[in-house]
Amino acid sequence: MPITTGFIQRLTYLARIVCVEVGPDPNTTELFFTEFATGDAEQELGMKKSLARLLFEALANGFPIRISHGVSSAEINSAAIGGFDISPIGHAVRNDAYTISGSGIPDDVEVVFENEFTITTVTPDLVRPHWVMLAELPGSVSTGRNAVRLQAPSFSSDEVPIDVVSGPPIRCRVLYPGAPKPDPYTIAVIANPMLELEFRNRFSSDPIMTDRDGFFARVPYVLNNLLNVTEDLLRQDDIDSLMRFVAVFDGVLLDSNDANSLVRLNPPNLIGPRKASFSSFLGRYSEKADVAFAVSGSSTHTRASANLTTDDTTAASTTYTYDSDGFEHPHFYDEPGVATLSLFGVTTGLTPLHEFGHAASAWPTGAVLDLYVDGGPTSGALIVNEKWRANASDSIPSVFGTYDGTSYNSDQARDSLSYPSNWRSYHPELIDPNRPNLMDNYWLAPPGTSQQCRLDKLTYDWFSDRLRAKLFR
Amino acid sequence: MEPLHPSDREALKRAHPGLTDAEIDRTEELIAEIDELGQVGRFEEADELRDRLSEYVRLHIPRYQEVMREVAVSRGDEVRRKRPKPRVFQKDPKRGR
Repeated sequence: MPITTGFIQRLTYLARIVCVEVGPDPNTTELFFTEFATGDAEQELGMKKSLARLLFEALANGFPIRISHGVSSAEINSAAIGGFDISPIGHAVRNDAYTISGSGIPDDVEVVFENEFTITTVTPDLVRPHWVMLAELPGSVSTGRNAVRLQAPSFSSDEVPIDVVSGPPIRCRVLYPGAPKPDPYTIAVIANPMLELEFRNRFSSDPIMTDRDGFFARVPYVLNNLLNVTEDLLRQDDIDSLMRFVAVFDGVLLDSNDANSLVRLNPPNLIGPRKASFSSFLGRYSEKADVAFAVSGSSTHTRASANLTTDDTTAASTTYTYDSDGFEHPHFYDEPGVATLSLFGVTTGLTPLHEFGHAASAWPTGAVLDLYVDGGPTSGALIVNEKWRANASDSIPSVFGTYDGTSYNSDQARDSLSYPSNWRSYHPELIDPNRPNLMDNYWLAPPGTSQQCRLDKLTYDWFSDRLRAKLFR
Repeated sequence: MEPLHPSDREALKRAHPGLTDAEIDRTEELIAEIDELGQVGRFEEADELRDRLSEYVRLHIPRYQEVMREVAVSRGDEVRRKRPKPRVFQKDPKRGR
């Protein structure tokens, strides 16, 4: 049975007949029709109504259509909207963030918007093989019907019709939907509406709420730090294609109250996450997150910090052994891991990924701690990436520990930094011994190489299994 | 917690002549200790230590917040500065593309 594919250039409704002209342009078309005949059975009539609705949808949205018809007949037997190899996500709002999913997208891709008058080409702020992000859909793209495509020297996608509007901006934008299931592993980036001041229970508006552009410029920086630096924890085997990413900027949250405050100012310049507020805050937008970042525009308090996940130890889990003891990677959480980031944070380091390293770990079921301070052991909790000697003068054991039957050596030298003589703590062997651990002071890596710092071998394997347990729940 | 950036450390020392690395390190230890107490829900102990930290900073690094604000303002928003501009091509309406 012949199939004709093309765009519907014109649709007319004549008494009981729906006619469509299909072709690449208005001057090159073929005419097809469907007729609501008086003798049609109820089922056949229902199918034809659905067909007519599909034709209207294809015309209204500019989607290509595949029409099946007889060899020498213009009567439509069936029709289907043609697929595209890319998919714009969410409404196209000028000066708002915009994302497009696809597959096999190369690093050098550009996003092209085209309409009758202009072609606007934009370099994405984030590129992954399965999606791209623009921090801002350019104001130079006209409102109304446009076509969007991805192009690179060795890559070209379909052209997808989109309707660009001038506003209002989306309050909670799904950047990438992740695995199609009820509880995909989710990472949220939120503009913090209210700051809790150093004196508790006093609130003031966070300056970031007057800087939507700054926030959305910071979002792809955060995601690039998580997904595109040398440490591949979150992108190994493209596991990030299963993760959901959302961004929230809600400019109408003006109430100075507890529920709108995700960040507390702590002395001397720390921005601390108010962990208890995150779940209910995201719930307003029907979102949940395993890990959430709150971005603050405070200029006095700029130093990022995190609070660890509280796992749900009553639900499903994946068991493992650490040294000789049995533990579990819980698949769900009671409270998400949370972290803060500053609008003024230095961007040449690994702050978002470092804070993710804390937030995505859990207290007391598996904590990943800072390695640039000595700290000390805490009973009743599993510390994954740090152990302590009885005395600072004791030698560091050659074997750090055993995870799931595999033995891991200790980092005898703390890469190039060396352990201070009064420290009792020691760490597992590094993946890259030439640079500090991602959870150590990455600013002290050789100049210009902070973003090449990686985890230690044990923590990498433990974290990979923990993420997989949650991704495949 | 984000480690102290070397340029922030230098800025603190410039603004407080005589301030030593050891004094900054002591501040860092207190901050880290408070952070970890907060992680494990020991909020009262964290609050007590926060008072000690505030006192220590008041004595040794009194312009801490002011210096950090100056650094933040001078640094600005690095991300926005680096973003490439879109390229816009006006079509000739008579000739199409």
